[in-house]
Amino acid sequence: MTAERSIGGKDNGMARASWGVIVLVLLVVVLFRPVAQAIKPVPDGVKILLWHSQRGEERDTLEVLLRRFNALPENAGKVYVEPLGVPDASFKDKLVRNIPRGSGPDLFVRPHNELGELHGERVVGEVNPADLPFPAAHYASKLLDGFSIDGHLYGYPLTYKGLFLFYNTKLNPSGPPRDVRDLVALRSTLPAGTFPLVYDATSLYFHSPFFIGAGGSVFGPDGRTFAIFQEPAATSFDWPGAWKRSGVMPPEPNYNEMVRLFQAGQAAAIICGPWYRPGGAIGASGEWAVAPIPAVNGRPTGSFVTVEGVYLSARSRHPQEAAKVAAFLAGPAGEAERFDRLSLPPVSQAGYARLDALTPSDPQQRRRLEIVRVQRASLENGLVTPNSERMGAVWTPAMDLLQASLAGRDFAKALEDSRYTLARVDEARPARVDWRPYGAVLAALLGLGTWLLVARLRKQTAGHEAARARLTGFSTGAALPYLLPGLSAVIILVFVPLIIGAGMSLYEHEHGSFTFVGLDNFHKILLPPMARLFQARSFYFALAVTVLWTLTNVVAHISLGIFTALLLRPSWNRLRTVYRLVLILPWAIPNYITALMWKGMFNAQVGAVNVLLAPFGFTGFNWFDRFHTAFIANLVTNTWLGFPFMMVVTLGALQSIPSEVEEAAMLDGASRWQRFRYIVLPYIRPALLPSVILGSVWTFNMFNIIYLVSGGEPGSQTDILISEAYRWAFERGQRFGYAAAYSVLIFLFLLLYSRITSRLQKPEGT
Amino acid sequence: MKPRLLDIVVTHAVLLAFSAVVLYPVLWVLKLALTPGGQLGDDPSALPLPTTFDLSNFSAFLFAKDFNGNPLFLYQLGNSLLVSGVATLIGVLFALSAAFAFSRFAFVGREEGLKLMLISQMFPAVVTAVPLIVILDAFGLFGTTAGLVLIYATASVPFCIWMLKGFFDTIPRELEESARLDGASSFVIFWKIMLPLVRPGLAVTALFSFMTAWNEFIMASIFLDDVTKYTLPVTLQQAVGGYDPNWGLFAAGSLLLSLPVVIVFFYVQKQMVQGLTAGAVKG
Repeated sequence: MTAERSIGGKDNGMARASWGVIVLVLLVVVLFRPVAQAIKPVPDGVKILLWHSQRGEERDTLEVLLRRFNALPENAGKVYVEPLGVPDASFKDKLVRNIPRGSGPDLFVRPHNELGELHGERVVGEVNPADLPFPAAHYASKLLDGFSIDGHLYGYPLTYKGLFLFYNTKLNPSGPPRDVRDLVALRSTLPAGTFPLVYDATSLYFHSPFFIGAGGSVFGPDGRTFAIFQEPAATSFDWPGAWKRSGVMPPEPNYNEMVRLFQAGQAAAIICGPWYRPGGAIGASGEWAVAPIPAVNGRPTGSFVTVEGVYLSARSRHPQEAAKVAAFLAGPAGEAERFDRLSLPPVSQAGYARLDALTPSDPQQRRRLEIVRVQRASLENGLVTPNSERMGAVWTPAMDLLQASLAGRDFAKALEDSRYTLARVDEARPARVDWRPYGAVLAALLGLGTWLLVARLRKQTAGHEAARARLTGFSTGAALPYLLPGLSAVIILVFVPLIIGAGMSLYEHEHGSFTFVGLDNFHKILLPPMARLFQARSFYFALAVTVLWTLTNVVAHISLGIFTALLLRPSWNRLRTVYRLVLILPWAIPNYITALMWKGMFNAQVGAVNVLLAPFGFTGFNWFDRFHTAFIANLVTNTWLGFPFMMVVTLGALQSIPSEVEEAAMLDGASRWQRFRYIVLPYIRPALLPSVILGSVWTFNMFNIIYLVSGGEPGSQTDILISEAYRWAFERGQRFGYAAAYSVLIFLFLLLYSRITSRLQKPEGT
Repeated sequence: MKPRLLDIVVTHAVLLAFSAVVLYPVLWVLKLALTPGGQLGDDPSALPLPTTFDLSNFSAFLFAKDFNGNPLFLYQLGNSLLVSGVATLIGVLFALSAAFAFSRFAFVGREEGLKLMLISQMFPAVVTAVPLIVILDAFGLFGTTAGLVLIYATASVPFCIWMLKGFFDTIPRELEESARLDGASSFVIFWKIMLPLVRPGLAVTALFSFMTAWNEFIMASIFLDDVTKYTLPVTLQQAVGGYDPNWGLFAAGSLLLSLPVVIVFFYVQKQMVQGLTAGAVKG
């Protein structure tokens, strides 16, 4: 009705004019960018494009430096640099996709630990050591290791981050703990319920000080063989369990819980990094200081150190100018700016000499200086995290081992398991497969399919479509011109990609090229090793989660939808239009917005959900640490989003119930429940069924909620099939073939589902 | 029938409770948008009532500039309008006659065609993304606005065929039959009789197709690299997607972006439910 009035515009001059104005305004907005970009003067000289993923003050500092570079007189008219912020999560994939095509950046800023992979994809350019802003020998020791592969240099160090100790000055009156040997003794001097030292003991990164202190290294001398689970340091993975049992560490040492304990004054010290500033009670009182990480049985230790660097693209059109920009960013000016504005450690000895000359009187300044110094200690006694591609395989088995220790499981067996998982990395890659047998099978299948189709269509020409043609008087031939535009669009836009996608599932995609591997992707997905069968990231696990997700959601949506619709039904309720408008809001607001808002509300430290549930002890509770709470967070969000659709559908269906029937039942003394069960429900069921089918397909594919609310946490456990397919394609190294195989399986699943449901619907319809 | 007092009280109480739950996150967005700063936990109170009336988040969103001083909001608004508008136009133009044919003509494979249309709708864009990206890459359309329009058109064409077919179905046959007796050709019937009658349905279909593209962020964020080519939802998602989220900016942008959508939605939701479920019933 309303749409008719506003759009139909019955030759009304005013309406015409106002539509004209709207269209004109829209055109101006749409044309604004092309026109503005065309008339904007382009600076003289070579343009260098720099990609980064920095935010907030780090981004401001970077832009200040780049502006300064552009303003240098020697660069005027010769070279200028433009930054582009790229989201952190997709940074690597975008680099790998764009650089070989020549559409990527000339330079990019990234932590060093991805270098091995990027080098493997051949997207980073080599750096001539002579181009470094400082002589190689003048860098803080080990830093350049992070950018070296096989003796070649691939990046300019900007700064680095290491772990260190934050300690509570009130609980440690005689200074910070100096050695882990003292921890048990320290335990008895602290008040009850207070822990001497906490850290995220489920992560190899935070555990690295103890691993390094025990003499461990990730790789053997050849830089390839895994040495991480070998003695002498393998035993260090069992320390967290022992500390937990002796009361040195709390029962659930995950990151958020540790931060909470330290900030509440229930932990005397915490191992954390430069991004962290104590908040809560400790932050407010300022009773904290920083110190180097305690020694391990007399041996000083550091941590894994991440070096941030600027890299040259392997395909830069202007490598010399790009190198100039990189040297400027990594040079003395950049170093000074990063310390002054961001308190980030310098990388050169000259930079440290400058800091040593500082004697700030301001306590804030002193603390900043102290934080830089303790990070240097972590570097000197620690390790730059190996940049090898193979490093990526280490984190998960190490986490499994640490968790086994914390859970008190048989450590020797867990160690064996972790070694086994790691050894699988060295398994041979799938070989190229002869495509001819597949081609033959495919041709045979296509032939069979065509034959079946033709047979079926032939039956139809004689069947009820022919009857329909006689009835309407429109023949098949006449339909063709009408169908042509739509059908050709659907075939080109929908079916060709679908068929190509199905074809891609038989290929493996690596380093930008496809290899035919036959059914290997399906084999890997459907027949994983037994041990992996019911773990996160396996197909069956994701399938089970998806089914659970769809069922729980649909049940919740229908029951809440019917419930609210029944409440909105009585005509004596004068406010029901208002209620209806309010309750429909979740459906009206774009779901990515509400999903992000709910994600914020489930935040452990500051989210509204924990504030509301505070009386039940939910302060600081992290919803995304465990499967069931993360799943509940997703479920709550999607129920909030999904029930209004069912409500609107039910409201429509309720109108079909003749009032006499209900009144008769009421006179007969039927109870509220009886009336619902025997009158309302049978009447609304046929109208509800298609919506239930539609809703279940929507939920099955509800990518936005999973991706934005839980993000698959913990460890991809809450990912459904769709989000798994997405991650294999865009977040786990562009495994297009594997993702395509996932898509084919999802497609088959939906096809099966639609067949079943169309059977379900048939008897109702006829 | 006179309602009992207890019924009235209980109904209102429960409906008020539901409304409160529904409005709670919306109030948070409002509060965050009106509070300068942009952090979530500055005021962890249970009741999110705005304590300040500060429009700095709105101006930060509207007047954001990139490194080169480009007005990002205007650029991105233009991009969003262009991409959603052209995808909708493609969808409607290509679908119109096909929907008429599916509704009125008899031809071999009609039911199968409709079913295929529905199945292609079940398949989310995220999953067709992989082959699409490879194809667009081969044509040199990767990262371009035109490529994104084509991606959105893959969803909008079948959707429009499906919805419009439903609206054509609702037009009574008597009208065209009398025209046919007067000797009108099928094109005249389509152009002169059906098209004017299906205009409201056309408007609803176009609006929904437009809104789907207007709200899409995931394909756009995979596909676009240049911040001046972004659509608005990508900016919103990136404001809070990574580390160091800016909730104030996100909330202000969300309000600006969803207000037109919500208004349009209230006008057309009934037709939407009809169109969607009618399709699923009749098949």
